[in-house]
Amino acid sequence: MSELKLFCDLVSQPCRAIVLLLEINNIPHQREVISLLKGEHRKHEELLAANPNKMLPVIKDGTFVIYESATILRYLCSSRDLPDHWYPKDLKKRVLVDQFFDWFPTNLRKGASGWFLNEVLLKKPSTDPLIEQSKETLRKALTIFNDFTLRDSKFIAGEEISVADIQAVCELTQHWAIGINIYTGYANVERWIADCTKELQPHFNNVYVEIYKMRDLGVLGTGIQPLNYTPKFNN
Amino acid sequence: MSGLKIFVDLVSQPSRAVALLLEVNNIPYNKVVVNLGKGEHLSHSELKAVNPNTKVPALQEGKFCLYESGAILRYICSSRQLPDHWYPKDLERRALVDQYLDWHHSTIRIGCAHWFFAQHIARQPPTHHVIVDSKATLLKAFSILNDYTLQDNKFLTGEMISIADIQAICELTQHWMVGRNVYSGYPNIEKWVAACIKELQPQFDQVHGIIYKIKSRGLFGTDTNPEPLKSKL
Repeated sequence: MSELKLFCDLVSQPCRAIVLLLEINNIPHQREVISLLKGEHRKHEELLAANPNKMLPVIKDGTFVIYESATILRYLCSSRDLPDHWYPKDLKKRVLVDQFFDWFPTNLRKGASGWFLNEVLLKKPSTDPLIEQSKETLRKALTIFNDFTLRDSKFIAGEEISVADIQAVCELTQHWAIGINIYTGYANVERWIADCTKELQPHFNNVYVEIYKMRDLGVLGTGIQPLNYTPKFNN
Repeated sequence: MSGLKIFVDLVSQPSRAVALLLEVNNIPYNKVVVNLGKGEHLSHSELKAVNPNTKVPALQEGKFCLYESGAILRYICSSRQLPDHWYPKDLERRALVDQYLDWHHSTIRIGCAHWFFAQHIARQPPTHHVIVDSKATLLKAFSILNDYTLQDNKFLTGEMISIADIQAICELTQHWMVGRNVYSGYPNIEKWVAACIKELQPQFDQVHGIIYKIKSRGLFGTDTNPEPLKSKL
């Protein structure tokens, strides 16, 4: 098996997804950490040669280079012949994973990441229209995710965890870095988060060390209100 | 093989991609047209049962339901055992198709679709932030397509056309409705557009019939010289 090299930063949701899959399946790999918060990705020559979008994650498998986290997750499942539930060979189960991967970027990811980027990283006021729009996108996405996707099944594509779940749980726990749960009140999602994290331990906690550290040290700030926050007025 | 039902509106780019793959491969299917312009998708109970997002395209085969064009394109390739080049079995070649389809969502799709909607449907002024941001996204995306992806390849993932090319070409033709080639000034993209269309005829023209009709009737405006993406300085 050729040598696997991963360019990543565990602050990034899609990077955590890849590392989780590798760790759980004991796949040997070389990890090159590129700090997004320090802007290292913009000047990293090897990264730019591998991915002209200058984004993480990227993998090199021997001379073969691939970017886009969903693609990397699928490729690792197939090339390393991982247990079937991660990316099932049964077509009808497999395309439910594909369906989630396609729906995810403009729904859960756009909502959650848009909010995180604008309010937490760029520190815009909570009334900023981009933050409002992101939260609205997230509410709509969580409603579909809760009321349809997770209504009748334990995980996204059925009764067993897949790479779709890894992708989604890493996105929806990004706000743990500032100590809030963005999915509170969505009962099926809360249940699913608990099931995913349980299924992925102890590797989940290992991969989340930096997120926990950020939360505990309050490095990204505090005081950001959860999604469906209702202010209480004193009368 | 049980009856294949596809919910589409050919004014929609991903609907065209699915229809084109089916037509080019002579796959029989029942086409259910959902008129987005008339808002039919918002109250279409059959569509909602298949896709809770109430969007097209959507697929139903017996009890099996699927939405998202990328997933549908992959499903059709695998379930109908289409010629390998559409979605290759070779892992590395397949990964290149997946990579394009994944990248497409937040680059070409957002750039083209949001610009078109904001300027020609919502009729926002050219300075509106959605139009400005979409064009910026598209400029970056086209640089990557032109200078990297298509630098040494006839098609997006190699020498043969795949579902990545079908998805991409149907997005880029949206602006034809207002007489704009969004990719003008990008020679590798222009060459690739021509190669795709040639490879996909005569079904390409059939699937794009509604686009040509809208263009000739000037339904989205009669400006015969809409501003291009890349200005020639």
